[in-house]
Amino acid sequence: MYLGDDHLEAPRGKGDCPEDDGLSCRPEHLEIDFRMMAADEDTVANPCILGRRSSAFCSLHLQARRTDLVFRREGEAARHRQHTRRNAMLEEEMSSLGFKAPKARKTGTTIAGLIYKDGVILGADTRATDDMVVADKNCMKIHYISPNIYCCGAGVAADAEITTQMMSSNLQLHALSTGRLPRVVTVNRMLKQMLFRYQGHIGASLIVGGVDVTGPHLYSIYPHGSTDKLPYVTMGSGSASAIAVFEDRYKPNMELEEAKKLARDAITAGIMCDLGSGSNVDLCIITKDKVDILRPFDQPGQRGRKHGQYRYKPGTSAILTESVTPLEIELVEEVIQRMDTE
Amino acid sequence: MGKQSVVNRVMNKLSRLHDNVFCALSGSAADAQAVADIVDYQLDLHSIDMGGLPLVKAAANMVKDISYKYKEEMVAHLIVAGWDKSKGGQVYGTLGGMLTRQPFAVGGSGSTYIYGYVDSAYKKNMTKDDCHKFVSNALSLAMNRDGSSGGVIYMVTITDKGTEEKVILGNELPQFFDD
Repeated sequence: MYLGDDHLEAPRGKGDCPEDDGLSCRPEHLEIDFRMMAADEDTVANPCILGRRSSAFCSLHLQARRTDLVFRREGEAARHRQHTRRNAMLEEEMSSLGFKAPKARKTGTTIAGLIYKDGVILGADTRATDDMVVADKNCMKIHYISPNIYCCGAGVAADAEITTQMMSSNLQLHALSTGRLPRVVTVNRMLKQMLFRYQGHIGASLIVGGVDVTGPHLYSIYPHGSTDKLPYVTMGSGSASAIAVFEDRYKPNMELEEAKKLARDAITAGIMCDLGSGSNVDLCIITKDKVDILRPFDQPGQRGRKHGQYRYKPGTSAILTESVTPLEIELVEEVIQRMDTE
Repeated sequence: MGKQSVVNRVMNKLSRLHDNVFCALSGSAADAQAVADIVDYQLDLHSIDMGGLPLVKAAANMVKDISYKYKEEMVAHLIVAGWDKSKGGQVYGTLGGMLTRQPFAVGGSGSTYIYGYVDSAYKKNMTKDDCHKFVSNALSLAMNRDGSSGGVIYMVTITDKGTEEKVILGNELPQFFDD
């Protein structure tokens, strides 16, 4: 349901939910079961939306007071991964009840990657926003693809998440079939061919970095399927701020400490200058021997210490008159419901 | 109108289709890269089947076939050029799914600014160096005028002896009147 095509407006979802297999039919907005059934009220529609999630089936139970719309889809999730038909039907049903379909979560992000002397450093901020509210102050935007390859994701949250998970799975199978450690160029090729096939409808902007037998490599991949192979890249709504830092100070073959500082500064520029990015800086350092995930590497988003006292001392405002009026409360009805606490 | 920004200022828009055939990409990066990758693969198979280097016309034909078939869905123009034994050096345009052999071809958003220059400066049977100057002058003029063009110039020279790739950096570009 994400309609935008500006990959710089990079959304990021709320946290990495390990159980989320992407087949959940419960829209994220409706975490609460708002059953507004009042027996005495004569309201036009009191829909109750209850969602249950399971990997085997997906069922949605919609019930309205006047009109009963109950529909259940079982087994379909197992047969096809596309929810386009279900989404279209949901939108129709919900709008007839006066409800708007929830929008795909669209948030800001700053992600960056650079190649240094011994390998690749990937960096990301950790803020996930829901319009103008921070939904998650510490979400993980650096995803595992294979032991030697990691991927930063911007764009539609669900798309980035699922795409990287699928790639990780396919790459593992590919590695078993070839008997070799996976290469970054392979992930790039698989990702670009998949994203091109979906003609940009999968809104995932990714930075893939890793070290394989041929050396360290860094690719940026756009939702429509074009890729760039560069020594340093940034993506997301904060990318303009971050690339400015890279363009100023990047040098080939930097030492580890200098490279870490540069990546940190680039992400920090995004955090400070872009409203959609914030909280901490996560770094992922990949060399041919090991991978270090530094989470958090830095926390530039600390709340500043207040320099003044803004509280007024009691007595600052003079009290001229005081009058106290007790409110009479009448007990009308008392109902006691026992809880079973055995 | 969305934010526009330069995401890659050193993009190599010359894609290898085979050892003796290259193509120049323009239009949507995703579409152009996808077409070039597909033709790279198809040409690989074709040259194994035929037991030798492919004809430039064969490569251009493959590009043309894809461009024509997906004409409505894609926005990309690839100029295919190379050298083969039967016709020597060749340049083919594939705009709109049409195959045309030309002495020279220009394409992309910056090409509109240099039609006058290329028409007046091109001469038949130029030497290799003259051709290099022709290409770098034309591109430099276009880069100066077109907002979507810039950065560096990548140049590939394909002859019977082989293929040579060159990069002309920003400070080495030919200079023209620029106030």
